[in-house]
Amino acid sequence: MSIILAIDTSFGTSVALVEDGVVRAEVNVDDTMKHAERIGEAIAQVLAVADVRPAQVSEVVVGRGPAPFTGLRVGIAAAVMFAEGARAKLFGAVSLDAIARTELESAELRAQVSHDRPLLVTSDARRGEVYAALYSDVTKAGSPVRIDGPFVIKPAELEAQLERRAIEPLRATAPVTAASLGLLADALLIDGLLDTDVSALYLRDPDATVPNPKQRVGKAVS
Amino acid sequence: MTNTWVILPAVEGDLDEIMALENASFATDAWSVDNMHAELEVAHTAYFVVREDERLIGYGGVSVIPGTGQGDIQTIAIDEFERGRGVGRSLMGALMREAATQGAREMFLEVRADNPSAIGLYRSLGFEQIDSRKRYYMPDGVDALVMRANLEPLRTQDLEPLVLGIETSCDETGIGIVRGNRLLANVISSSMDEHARFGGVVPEIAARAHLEALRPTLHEALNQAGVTLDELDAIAVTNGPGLAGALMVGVGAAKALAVATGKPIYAVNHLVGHVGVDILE
Ligand SMILES: [Zn+2]
Repeated sequence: MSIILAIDTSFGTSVALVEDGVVRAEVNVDDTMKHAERIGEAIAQVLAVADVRPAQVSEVVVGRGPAPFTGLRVGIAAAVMFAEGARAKLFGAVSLDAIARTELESAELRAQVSHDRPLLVTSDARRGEVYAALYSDVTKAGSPVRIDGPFVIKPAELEAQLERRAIEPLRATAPVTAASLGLLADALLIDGLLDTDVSALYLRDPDATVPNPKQRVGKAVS
Repeated sequence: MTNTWVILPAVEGDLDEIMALENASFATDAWSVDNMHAELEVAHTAYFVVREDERLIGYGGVSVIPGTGQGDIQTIAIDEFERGRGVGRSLMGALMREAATQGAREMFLEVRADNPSAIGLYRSLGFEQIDSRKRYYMPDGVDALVMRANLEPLRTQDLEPLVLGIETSCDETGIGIVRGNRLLANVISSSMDEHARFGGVVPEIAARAHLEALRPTLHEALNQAGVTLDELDAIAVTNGPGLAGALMVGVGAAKALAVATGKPIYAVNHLVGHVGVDILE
């Protein structure tokens, strides 16, 4: 018996409630700029629609990205505090894995996917780059088996690398939703693979660079 | 006689008068002036003096170590000519309320076994003997009774609203807990060390630091205040101005906490928040 509140803000604001592997409610707001304003009402809405009290939520799972920086941490902060307030267990999951799980629901795709012909999941990383990860398989419960990634890369460079490694992947570009993240968490929970790490996957370093301590501004006096 | 005394927080300027009463009250085991001075200054203690017509007629102190939920009466003394008027009861009441406000759920004290009037006063205030210490008061060799009172009734009765505030406006995550206008906890996980390396506040780094700091900061604040999330009456959050990114973390966090706990949420201006912290006692 699990009631999972799933939150993913790697793109829009997406919140879902998954009970024993069934999506009971979901709210998806595309607006990428309003995460902070939307997150509270989105959580309240899914609880109301599913008729679940906060204290009944047993697990909170948050998408760790990878994602451009801004919205991601709003979702993580919200997940941390909701879990504290509702006394639920807190977990994190890689958002790309949620896409892989959804794609690999297809029996046709499952039959084709293999280590030699993996599923390639990509998402927009902006600045002309994509996030990418490769999957070779899926467990019976539905946990995808990631064999590479996630990493951030220019699309042309990704294609060049795949060609060098003689990989002709199956491709998925479905958007990540909290519903898919919640179903992923349910599968990971069954497989005992759900992770408590909720740190954000930015994959890029902050824009700021550490100044060189040897480099002095102003005139040297000697 | 009427009770025309006032109870005031003790200040350093009270020290000489406190010592005079201390020496008169505890002939054989008075604290030194240095000890008393340190007691007045140390964090987690609260000392009060009783004054009547400018004259100091009593003093007492309580210590509440954050997170323990326990208060300890450090000392209490009433001028021998002013006893029997209810001064001690009134001072004890102030100390018990102070301890409850600072998060104590129970209060402990030791009293000389040969002081029946003090023991009677403490009993009437709800203290019960839980233990004794043989020959505790030296050099007289007098036993001490250890007494305990439940402060829960004081905590739930007539208490001002308990508000938890989250601020992530500029370069730090701050979680404050106030009861009325009294600051119970203020924990700031400053990201200053990170900033120093970058020679200023770098928005992205500030925001990353906020995220990692959120959970430990919340726990520390609740511990310091000696309260649980259930006891909160409201949640407050800074809504600007500030760095947009850092700000959003706090707003998202506060809203989620409000939904999870079912508490109302209020937005406060960052600057007002700062001024507010200053005017808190
Ligand atoms: Zn500030």
